Amino acid sequence: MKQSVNNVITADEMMVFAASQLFKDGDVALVGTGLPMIAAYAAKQTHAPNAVLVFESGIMDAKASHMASGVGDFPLVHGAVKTSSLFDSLSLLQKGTINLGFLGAAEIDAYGNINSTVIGDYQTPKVRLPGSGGANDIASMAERTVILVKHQKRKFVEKLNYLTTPGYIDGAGSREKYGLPGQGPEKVITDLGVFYFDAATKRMSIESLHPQVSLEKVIEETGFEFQHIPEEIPVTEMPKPELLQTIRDLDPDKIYINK
Amino acid sequence: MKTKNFLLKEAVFPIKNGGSIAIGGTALRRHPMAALHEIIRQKKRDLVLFGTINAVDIDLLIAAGCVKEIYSSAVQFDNEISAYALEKAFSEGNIIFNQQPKKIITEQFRAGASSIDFIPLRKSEIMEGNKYIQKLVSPFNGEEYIALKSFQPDVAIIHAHKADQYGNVQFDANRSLEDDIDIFIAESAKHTIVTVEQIVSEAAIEDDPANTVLPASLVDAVVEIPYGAHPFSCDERYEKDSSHLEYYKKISKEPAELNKYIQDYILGSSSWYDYLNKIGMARLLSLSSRQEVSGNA
Repeated sequence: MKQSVNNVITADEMMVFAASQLFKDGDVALVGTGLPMIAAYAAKQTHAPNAVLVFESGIMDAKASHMASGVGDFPLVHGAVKTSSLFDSLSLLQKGTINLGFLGAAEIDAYGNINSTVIGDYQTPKVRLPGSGGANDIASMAERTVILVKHQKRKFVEKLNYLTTPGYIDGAGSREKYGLPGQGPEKVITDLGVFYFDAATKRMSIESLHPQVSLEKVIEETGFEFQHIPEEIPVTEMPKPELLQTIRDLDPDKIYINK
Repeated sequence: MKTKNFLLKEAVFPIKNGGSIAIGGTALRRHPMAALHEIIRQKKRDLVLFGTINAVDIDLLIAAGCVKEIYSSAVQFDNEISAYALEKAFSEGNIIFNQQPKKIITEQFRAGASSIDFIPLRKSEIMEGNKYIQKLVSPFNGEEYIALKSFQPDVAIIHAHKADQYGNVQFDANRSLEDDIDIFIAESAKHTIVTVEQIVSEAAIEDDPANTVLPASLVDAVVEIPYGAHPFSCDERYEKDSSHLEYYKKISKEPAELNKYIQDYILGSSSWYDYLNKIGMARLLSLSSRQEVSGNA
């Protein structure tokens, strides 16, 4: 493990750590591959041993020690208590069993709405993206969701090219108006900081910035105005060295973090 | 991880008088009999029961005075003869029996399993006065359908082959039929009790995850009960006890004899093991024997 002697934490590791801290013990979480999966394993190995990790493909309560490259990968099956189907795992969302879900984004706006469908016009796009997958289902129905995204101006936009996945839609009261059962996004975690949604307006606000990240840099990379910026901006909590090591040990081949 | 391994008495205790219970098993296969005996011993009253195709399971609960209302396609001995205690209680107006087509019932459990309020089905039957069925017009083509209100009972009880102590439940790979309905029944309730032939290790579950039908997060209690479906069959584990079923059919014609049966086999048994002793080891083992091809499905 080349990485283990290096004590300087990377942006990927900060994101994984921050996401892992949002697990409550006993959460039933619908987890995708990538950073959320490593965050989920880190949480399960530390403060949330009773978290149940469900993958979209139908793999339940996975305890995999090695990393998979897709949600249907066989390494995940090892140690799982149930392997069934897409129908079964996504039915848990309808049923209201899923407490926590993770989302990625090609574009995100101030209300936590996500585009992962097209850049440009839907019929004649500049870029066609992979689409919703299970993201819309998760965002609509999971009790809480967390969005992990690289903080770049082209991604943090005032207006989405396409609304794939609802956050707080037009602001306070919107989710209720459209009848979405889940509470909406709890946090946005980027390589620059951690963000929350203002209780009154449901617009994104700054909670903390990662070490060495300046407010100027965050504002420069964000295409909308934050609802709230603290006068003294907290620095995101850092993982203890043992936990950082746990995170690195989970992905020794750097499939997902520190690529 | 929280263990959910209980004694039968403890698992059945939370069932309330007047509560609703979905009962797993279909026809002559895998009804959770041990748990139903315990319900009778604990003298639960005014229960509302939900099942697919029922038999001696529900008939016994009726005879023991536990039942107020039933939703099922049938409570029968076979395809021709309805169970006697049900017939008597129904004709005397002591129970409400909402007899519904099987497909409707399976869909109501399926909707309940997803916690949705209703599910549409092609129009097959409108039962006047059944509060679980309403007319529905398709918003797409204007055709008439029926809207079935889902079954979301307080408690579900099913009998399965094995589980670990955390409540991960499996059916044997080698089973007679597919088990989607029992899974829907289990998932439809707010509180799910699963009796199993065997409690196994978590490692045994993880060795064979494709045969897990219920993850621990959807199960509230597991109880180890060998021969827990007797006198009904339990796939490759044991055949139904035809002679005991015949005996029940014979004596249940006479209410006095049926009361004596309940006294002798259920109220007079301190536990399920006590009941199994009365059935006898030789009889039980013969039901599990591969030697004899009985011809009974």
